[in-house]
Amino acid sequence: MKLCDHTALELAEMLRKRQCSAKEIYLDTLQRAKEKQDSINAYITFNDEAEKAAEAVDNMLADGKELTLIAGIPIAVKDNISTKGLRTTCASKMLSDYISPYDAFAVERLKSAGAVIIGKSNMDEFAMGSASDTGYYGAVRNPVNTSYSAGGSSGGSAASISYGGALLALGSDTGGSVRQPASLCGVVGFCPSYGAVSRYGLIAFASSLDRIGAIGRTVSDTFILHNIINVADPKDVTMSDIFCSFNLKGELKGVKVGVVKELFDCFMDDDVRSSVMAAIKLMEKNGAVIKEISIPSIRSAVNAYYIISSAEASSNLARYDGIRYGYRSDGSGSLAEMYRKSRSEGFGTEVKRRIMLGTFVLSEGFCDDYYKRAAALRRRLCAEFNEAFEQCDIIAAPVYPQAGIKLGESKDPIDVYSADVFTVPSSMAGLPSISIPCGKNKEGLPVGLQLIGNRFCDNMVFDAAYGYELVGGGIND
Amino acid sequence: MTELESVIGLEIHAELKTNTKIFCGCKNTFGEAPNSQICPVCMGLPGTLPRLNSKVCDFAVKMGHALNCRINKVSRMDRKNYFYPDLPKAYQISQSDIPICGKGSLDILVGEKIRTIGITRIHIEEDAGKLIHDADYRGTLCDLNRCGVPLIEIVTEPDLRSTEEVRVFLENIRSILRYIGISDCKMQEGSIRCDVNVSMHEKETPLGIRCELKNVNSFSAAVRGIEYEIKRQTAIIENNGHIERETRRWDDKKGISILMRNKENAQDYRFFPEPDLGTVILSDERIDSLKAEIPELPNQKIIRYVSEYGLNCSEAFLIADAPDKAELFEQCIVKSECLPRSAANRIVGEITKYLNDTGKSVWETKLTADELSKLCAAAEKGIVSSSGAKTVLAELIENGGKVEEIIERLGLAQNSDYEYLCKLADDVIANNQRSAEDFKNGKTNALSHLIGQAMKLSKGKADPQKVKEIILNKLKTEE
Amino acid sequence: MEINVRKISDLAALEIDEDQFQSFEAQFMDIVNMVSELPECSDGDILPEPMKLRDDTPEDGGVNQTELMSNAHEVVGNCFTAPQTVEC
Ligand SMILES: [Mg+2]
Ligand SMILES: [Zn+2]
Repeated sequence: MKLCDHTALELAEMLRKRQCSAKEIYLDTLQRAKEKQDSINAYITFNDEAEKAAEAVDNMLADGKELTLIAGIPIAVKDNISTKGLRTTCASKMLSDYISPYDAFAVERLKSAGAVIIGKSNMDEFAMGSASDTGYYGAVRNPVNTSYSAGGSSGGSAASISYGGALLALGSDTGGSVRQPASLCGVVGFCPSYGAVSRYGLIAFASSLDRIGAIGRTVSDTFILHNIINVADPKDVTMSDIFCSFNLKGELKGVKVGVVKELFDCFMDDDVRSSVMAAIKLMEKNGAVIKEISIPSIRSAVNAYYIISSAEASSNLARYDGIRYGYRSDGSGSLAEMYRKSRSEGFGTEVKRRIMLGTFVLSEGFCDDYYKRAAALRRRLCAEFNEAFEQCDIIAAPVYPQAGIKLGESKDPIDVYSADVFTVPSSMAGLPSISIPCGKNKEGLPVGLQLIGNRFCDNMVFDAAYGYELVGGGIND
Repeated sequence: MTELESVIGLEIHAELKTNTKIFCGCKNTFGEAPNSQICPVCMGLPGTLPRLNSKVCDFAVKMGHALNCRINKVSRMDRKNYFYPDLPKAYQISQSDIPICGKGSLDILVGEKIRTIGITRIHIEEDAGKLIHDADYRGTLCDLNRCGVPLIEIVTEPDLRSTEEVRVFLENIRSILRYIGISDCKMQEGSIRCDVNVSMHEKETPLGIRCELKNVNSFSAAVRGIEYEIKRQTAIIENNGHIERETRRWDDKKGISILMRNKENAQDYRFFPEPDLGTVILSDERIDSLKAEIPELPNQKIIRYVSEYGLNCSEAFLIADAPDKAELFEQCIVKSECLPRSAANRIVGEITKYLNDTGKSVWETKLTADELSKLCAAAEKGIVSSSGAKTVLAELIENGGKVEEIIERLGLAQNSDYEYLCKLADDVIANNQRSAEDFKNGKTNALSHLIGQAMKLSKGKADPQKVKEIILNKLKTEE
Repeated sequence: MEINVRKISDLAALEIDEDQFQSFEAQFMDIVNMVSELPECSDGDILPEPMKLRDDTPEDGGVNQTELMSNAHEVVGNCFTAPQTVEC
């Protein structure tokens, strides 16, 4: 067993017991990451400064300094989170040369906590996609079976955790982009309450939905990373100032687990259905109380999600015009031509499709029927979730209808979008949710269980997931 | 055809003089080297987020109070999307559906009539950068220093009916902005600009189709642009043509407006709520305390000066427009030692000339209302001659001091004592019998000679007006 | 109401290859049809959560001008560049 095959918490302890050095952990993890780069393609850029960061941690340990639990732990950062001096591409030709002159708040937190940022992980272009196959740097393959996708959009982050190319990772979740790849790669992915983690420096896809989430091999690992970034930042005014005190007990007894009738009426693979049902049964067996609940608008959430996220994306991605940063077409003549050519050559097909959809739903004559109706549905959905959480503490649901996404098959966007039905409701309502491994399908591909909590009950989500992990769920099954 | 009437509405953009920009901590300054006043936020770097400056809200609310607007305790920021090289995020953060200030109105004095102009709304938004067209560079250079400078946009109802009304309205708005201390309104810096909507109709009939005039960078340009637009539209209507809904660009150098966009290719700004910002919420206490900071405003002063003190509109404007002059004038009125008219005359005349010549404000001179009142009173009573009063005033402005003491020191006292002047008149007539005879024989200019002699005899101290009256009386009674 | 895909691409400053236009349009209409299936909801203004306002005190952005401009395609006289604008 190599160092990179341990959990982050185990390594944190080994570091303190001087059983290994941060540099050894880093070099071991980097070696694994590089070995697998050709087959998995989890990284876009490796960080040349990482070794120095690891050495700095070793020096601090030698000096007897008090360190955080993530100090010296190799962490992958999704390539839409700005890192000063290290390129941040969003897996787009548009930003293939872009070097941010500042660090995202979450990255600042990692650096000051002594984390070793091993590199920037691959993803869907501008986080738009479900298979990490829309990006400029090629698809991310699933370490469990390389003919499958790692999921998306944080595919590189989830994959690197799965094969030991990083111990922890930051991803971003707009409509499921942390939870879904975590589910497909068999790791834990947490999407915090909207407003619990600063978005400053996260390159925007859909501002009212975007969140930075932690990915790890276990609930506890994921939890320690989330704790580092769950800190107030005045630079993001959409942050809440509610910060929960976190500690994991893992008690399932008496926890009321809601099962949303409408979600289980949706299509999903039999293997997925049986794994998720088995997980819920296991929780019940260990003291949880299962309740069937109804959230009538939950299935329309995915339609409203594509309207709102695309609308915001069309505006957020309008700034890529080739003037201040990013790709500029050589063949541009007039101003209008430069805009058109730079954007058309710089963006990939999926991004263009979303920008087009977003432009349309906001345009004159259509805004009322699309954007405003979607926003109204979103408000109704929030109200329905509120009611639901009067009847239960946690909602259990699948993460994705399938256990695996075959790479290379051409897919109809409508089918791809519709498959987000389980992850987007909590995205739309700003709720915290987690994906935790809960079994495998016939081909051995992992299946995830999603647990959703009420707004700012992030601790409860972690605790329920931890409880489930303790009684047999999780990666170590 | 009955006579056409022009109907005009304005959208006035004023830069606010806050310390920092609207959404970032960059300094709000003018005239710095290109792109020296920018940061990741205002240059729209990926991943950055805006933070709304509280002062911008305060300033907008103050203007709302000044224009009698309903203040919205809850308002929202929206995105206005369009591509242009001066707009780094490709959207302007503005307010669309729920502005910070709603309906209001402003009373202005046009001619001798009070006109009430409806205010539709006031909202806050960010300014765009500056594009430079350099002779040496075949293209456009973008300086983003102005990006994120806070603006308020004041939108009026289509209540203005003539260029004269527009001129007076804009003068009042500018004056108010300065009064409440929220904008410098320096035209040469483009800190106040407006878009103009003009339509024509026959009185008592529905409003016509309007055209919007953009790129109007000064108030005088607004007046010129509107005049042009009225002529253009009138000509079309008189030739039985139809006015189309258009956006036109005003070229002030050439004095013409040029079609930018018509109805078919109108801009679609795709407004939607700014997801990076929360709701703007103002407490009652904050709204009320901002209201308490609003002094009596120039438009109200103008109306009062005209109706109560008999000043004409332009005199009233000249005094009311400048807080220092208005303060001086009103302190004189409170003292009521002199006529408001005499104080007004001195302020509009010599004092304004001095201030214009030196670029100083009243507060930067040694002049006080106390002494100005005393000086005006002395002049009214003939204690000092009008030229003597000018000398005293100049002394008061430059060096201060007491009016009586200055008159004394400079020997400017004028003798208005009746008995002294009678004796003087008698002496002069007695010594100039020939002139007295000439006057009686109808040579009226002989009177000036007699007055001149009296002044000479009194060493210039006699009150020439009174001397004239007395001599005239004496000559007439002698007949 | 008729949906004009070319007009939308103009608004978005995007170009759709002429040979792919028809298939793009067909797919686009499918997506629009999918998302348009929304239940009728009472509207009303969309109000985000209240926010804290910033004090009007200058802050150093912490990034110097050279760094801020280092990603630009071209810098002339400390300015970003763009093709000649039609209006001025
Ligand atoms: Mg405006
Ligand atoms: Zn700035």
